[in-house]
Amino acid sequence: MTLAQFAVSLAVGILSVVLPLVLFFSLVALLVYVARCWLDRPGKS
Amino acid sequence: MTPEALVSIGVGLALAAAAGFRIFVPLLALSLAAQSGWVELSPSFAWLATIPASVALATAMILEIAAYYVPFFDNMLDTLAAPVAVLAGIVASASLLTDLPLWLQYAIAIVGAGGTAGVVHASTSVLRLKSSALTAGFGNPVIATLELVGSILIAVLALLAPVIALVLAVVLVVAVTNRFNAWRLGNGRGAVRSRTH
Repeated sequence: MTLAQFAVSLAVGILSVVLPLVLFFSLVALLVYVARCWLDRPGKS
Repeated sequence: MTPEALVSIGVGLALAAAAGFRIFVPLLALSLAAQSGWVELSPSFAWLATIPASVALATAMILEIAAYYVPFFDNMLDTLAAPVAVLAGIVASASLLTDLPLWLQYAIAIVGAGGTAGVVHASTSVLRLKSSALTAGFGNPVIATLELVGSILIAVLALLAPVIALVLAVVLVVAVTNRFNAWRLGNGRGAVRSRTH
């Protein structure tokens, strides 16, 4: 196993945990942003 | 169906139960066992028996174990990990069912192993949620440690003594299902009581 292969495997292992978390938090942040925009929309009675 | 096929179904189900606790522990155990020649994997899952796969799985396992020791972050991780745990159970089981027709291989993997991983994961998620509510998250590391020990124990037993591991996994699934049902019924009674008073 070369150093490059090891580095790629390490990166895949890290990304397999970190990437879903980042996507999850991005989705939550997006939903919160959309909800705030909806609540603060102009012309709301 | 040959006795070898029955044993591989048992190993697959036990590994799926372990995946319900920790996703990457049974996959790493399977990868190491396949590399050492202890188990034979289905040709489409031969990638699991490589050193790069073991390195990636070991890295992911360390991160997963560490992440479950962060209070409240672990609850969010539970939500996120639920479908992945089911998928890990399916992969672990399908990779071992070499003697069966393809349709039966995936039927057992998806229904049996995916279901087992899902039930175990859902039960531990509920337990962690209760622990978060009762102890403000301070009891969660204890649950995380027990889950880790359970996952390692079942994964190792599944590969070394499949019958014992399967019995342990069945007992575990029945126990957690009963606890989950008791909790659900308890909540239902609580809701009825609060409506009547």
